[in-house]
Parts: sequence; C-alpha cells; structure tokens
Amino acid sequence: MSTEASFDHLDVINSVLSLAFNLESYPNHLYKAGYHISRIEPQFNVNGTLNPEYQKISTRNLVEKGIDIPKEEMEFDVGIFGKENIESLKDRLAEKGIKYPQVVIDEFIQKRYGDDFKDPVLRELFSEPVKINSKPLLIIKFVEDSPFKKIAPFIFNTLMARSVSRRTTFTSRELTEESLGEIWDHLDKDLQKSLNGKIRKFLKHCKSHELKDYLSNREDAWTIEINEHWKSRKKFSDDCNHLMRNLSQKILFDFGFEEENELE
Amino acid sequence: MISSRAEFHRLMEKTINTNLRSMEERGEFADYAVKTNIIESNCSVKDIPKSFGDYSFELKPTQDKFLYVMIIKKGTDKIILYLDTYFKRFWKLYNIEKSLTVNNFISQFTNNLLKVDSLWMPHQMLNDLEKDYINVGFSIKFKQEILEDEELSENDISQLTMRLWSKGSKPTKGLINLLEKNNYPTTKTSTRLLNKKDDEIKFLDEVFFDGKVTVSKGTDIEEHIHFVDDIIDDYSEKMTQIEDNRMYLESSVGGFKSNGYPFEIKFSKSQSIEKVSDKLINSTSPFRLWGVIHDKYDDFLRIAGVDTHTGDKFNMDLMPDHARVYLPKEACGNVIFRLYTNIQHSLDPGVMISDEHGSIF
Repeated sequence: MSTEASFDHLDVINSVLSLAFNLESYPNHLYKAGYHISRIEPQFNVNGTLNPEYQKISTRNLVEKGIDIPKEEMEFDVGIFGKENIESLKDRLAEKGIKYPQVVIDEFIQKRYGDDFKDPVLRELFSEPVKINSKPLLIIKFVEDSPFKKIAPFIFNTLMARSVSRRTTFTSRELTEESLGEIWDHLDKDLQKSLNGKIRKFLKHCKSHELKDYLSNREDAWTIEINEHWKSRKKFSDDCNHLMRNLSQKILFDFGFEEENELE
Repeated sequence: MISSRAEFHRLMEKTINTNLRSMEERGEFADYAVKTNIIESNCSVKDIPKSFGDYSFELKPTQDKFLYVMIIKKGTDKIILYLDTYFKRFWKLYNIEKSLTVNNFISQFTNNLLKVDSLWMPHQMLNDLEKDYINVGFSIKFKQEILEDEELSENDISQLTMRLWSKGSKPTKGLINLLEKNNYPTTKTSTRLLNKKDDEIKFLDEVFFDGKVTVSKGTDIEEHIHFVDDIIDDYSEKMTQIEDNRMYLESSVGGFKSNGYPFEIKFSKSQSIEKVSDKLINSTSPFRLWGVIHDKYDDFLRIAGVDTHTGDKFNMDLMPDHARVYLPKEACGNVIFRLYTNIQHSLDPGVMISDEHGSIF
C-alpha cells in the first residue's frame, strides 16, 4: 500500500515506533533485533521551530538530538527517513562525512545509504527491501499542528463515549483533555490553551453543521444528546463521517484555519 | 428463604440429589437443574438500578456479606436468584429456575446495564476446560453473519449447528477430528464435562461460552462450585493478560514513554474490510461497538470507536488479513473477549488473536 499520500511527520514517528512491536501486519525489524522504545520525542526542536520541513534542517541537526542537544558529537546507530527526505538529505550528509546507516521507510523499508550497521542482526534485517502492507500503529494520535481531519475522529468517539456513559454535559476543555488522553496533564499551559481553543472552534463548527441535531451549548457548557437506539447511533456515525468528508480547506478557513496556522 | 451460605449450599445440594434420584427412578428431573451464570462486573451491587427493561428486583442480604437473594419480578412472574459477589470482578448468579426464564433475564441484565456483561469464552477456552475432565459432548454453532451467500465460495460454510452428547469421550474427540480434518468450523459454544472420582460421578456439567454452567447430574455441590471458580480463575487470568496490554503514553524525561501493546487479529482468509467494519461498528448485538472510519485506503481503514456496552473508547485498524485493536488505559478488557468470540461465531472460525508474546487463547 502506498503511504505517500498522507505520510506526514506523525506518520514517520509512528512508523519508526511500530518497528519495535512484534506484529505480522507491519515490519518488526527493531523488535527482532532486540530493541524497545525507551523515549518518544514527538517535538523535534530545530532552532526554535518544532518539527520543521526538511529543507530547514541543517546537517548539524541530523547528528544531534532534537531536544537536549549535547556538546559532544553523538554517534547514531541508524537514521530512518521518509522517501522524499532521504533523497533530499543524502548528499548533504555524505558531503559532511556523516555515515550512519540511513534507512528509508515508504512502500518498502530498507537500508539505502551510509555505512553498514555494526549490529549484524540489523545489517541482515535491513539488507533486503521489505514491503509495508499497512499503515503504522496508532501510537501518537495527533499533535497540536495536526489538521482537523486527523483530530475529528477522536472528538467524535469522545462525544459518543460521553453519551453512552451518560456524562452528557461538558466544557470544551474537558472534551479536549479526554480526546488527548493521559498526555494532557504533561502539556504546558499555553499548549493546553491553544488546543482547547482549537477544539472549541471545532465544536462550534460541528454544532452549526452536520452535528446540529446532537450538540447544544450555552457559552462553553456543552451538551451531547444521542438516542440510545442502535439506529440513532448509526445515524450519528454517518453524520460524523459526512462532516469529516466536508472538512475541506474552505470550511477550515471559515472556522479557524488562521488560528490553526498560528499554532504552528 | 435462605439466610446463610451454608443454607444455600444445602438447598442446591438437596436439589441435585433429588434430581439424580428422580432421573434414576423416573427418567426425568424432579426440579429445574441447578445453574450458575458467571457475570463480568465493573460496578458494585449498589450501582445496579432496581428496575431495568421489563424487570424489577429486590436484593436481600444474607448473613454472608457477599451473598444476596435476588427476587426478580416481571409482571406477575417471580423468580429467585442467588448472587455471590465474593469475586469483585466476576459475580456468580445461581438459580434453580426454568432455564428459558433465567436466560431471558440474564440477557436483559447484561444487555441493559452498563458495566455488567456476560463472559465471552472463545472455543479455545472451552477446549482448555476439557483437559481435566471426561468430555462427553459439545455444541457447535457457526453462522456467517457478515458475508452474503453470493459472496461465499463453493467450499465456504454459511451455517453449522451441531449438538453431541455421548457416554464417553471417544465419539466427541472423533467428531471434532473429523470436522477439523475437513475444514468445518469447530467453534464450540458449549462443552459437556464429566467429573468422576473412584467411579462416582461428582458432576456432569455443561459449560456455555457465555459463562452459564448447568449441572446435568451431580452428587456434590461443592465440586460444581469449585469448578465454576476454576472457570473464573482461567477467565480472570486472561483478563489480566489482556488488560496489561492497554496502551497509554506517560511522561518521561524529555518526552513520553509508550506502554502497552495492540492486539493483532489474524483472519484465516482475506476479508472485505468494508463489510467487516459495517458489521462490527453498527452498534448492534453481539459486537455492540460503535465507530467512525478514518484514514481509509483500498486495503486499510482505521476506526475510532466506543464499546457501547461500557462507554469505553477503543481504536482499531482493519486490513484484509489482519486487524489491530488498541485498548486505552482503564478500558474494560471484556471487549476483546466479546470481539474475538463473536468473530469466531459469525465470520471466521479460524481467526487468531495475539499480543506481544503470541497467541492469547
């Protein structure tokens, strides 16, 4: 399956993390080689810009850790890149004498450039291209700069979860917190505030469009009402799907695309 | 009306003995069989509403703080059940009432109430129970509920219902071998187990996939109770394994740490992801799942879902040959039993499910 169409920063992170899981439906190179995930840094900070486009990345950034940049040079076991990124960066890496093994992850996963792996198990695993037949695991669901289309499903299932468990009134902040899950408490206040603002705008959009029969509010006190009959629940999911399909750029602009950009 | 656990045990033992004698003398039961339903619970007794669906009930405490007498009323009909809450997560509901009447009540009890569910034992769990007893029968029920007749190949089976009772285990094993050899579904929905010690029948119990255990014959009620507790232990152990895989991120120095593992379901043959998802997430029984589809491609789709039985969220990836299920922190693990067992019963009898360490069942 081609993943090129939607392969963004989050997909790259989730792809690399997925390699450390013992799955049949996704390559498990890192699991087989005995690696496990010890820390995820979803924010790659380069010169004050979070998760920049690859053109903005200097070669130095590729041999240094994104967050706590150490003074001494670090030695990497592997760099894993999306297809376009590796083709754009490989010459710059070579020019600077950076030789760690460079793996491309796209329709296939394979070591493409740089030196051989020191670990013979990794050398063997990454030597031949292995076809990737599915999307990576959903480990990080969305980040603050994710488009609404990525965030919306997790808002919708939070609304349904509240309806089923009869917790039908909520604030936009409560909904944002529940949609994000346990990482909410670990986000800084500004980020919480901006995410909350984004979700509030999204709720307003939902209420004035496809979910008008289910959502009501007085200021920021919201209520969700979905009848318990399976047909009503099915209709709600149909309406959610309809809303997601209609999340075109124009509509995004109408209800806060500018604010969305400001978050970046 | 019983007022203590000892009295309750005496009542059940008297019933099974009377039934045994009556069977030997007249070929029929004198009273309804002793039955136990194991209920998966995520709430306390106090949280049960006093009326639901067509039923209302009274809960009378006994001298034993875990044992209650449940007086169930539906119109003018009244039945008595005995609720044992000694195991907080798995309640035992004993009764000596008409099977159909109790089944109807249990169905509403587990369907109408959030946080209360039946067990969903896949056929591997029923097979495992057979290891310690003489297997003298089984039921198999498979009905293709997802694919239409015209979508099946010449060798596919759309429905198989079978019930075998035997004196010994040889015919039982023989028929299962025959079915397996010819690729017929062997999705057991019940198994009949004979417990014999020194030529004396301790019990002949039938265990159903939903946690119902019926005493067909018996001399010692403690043996039946002990057997039910063993089933709970097995189920509880699997539940712990499943819930240990719940996925969540937690803060760690400079970033996050990922905990848990997704469940990977492997179909025995390629499936249409649209048809499977339509059935799985339409909110109806038996799956009782709701979801919205996102990230959809030709051979991949992702579901952000809710277990409408508990209100817990889940995520699922669906592919022609595999599915992945992600349970969030605090979600009830019974959804995995329900999902997997019902895929066996209504889509793919050969389906497998695994976690990091391999097959779960």
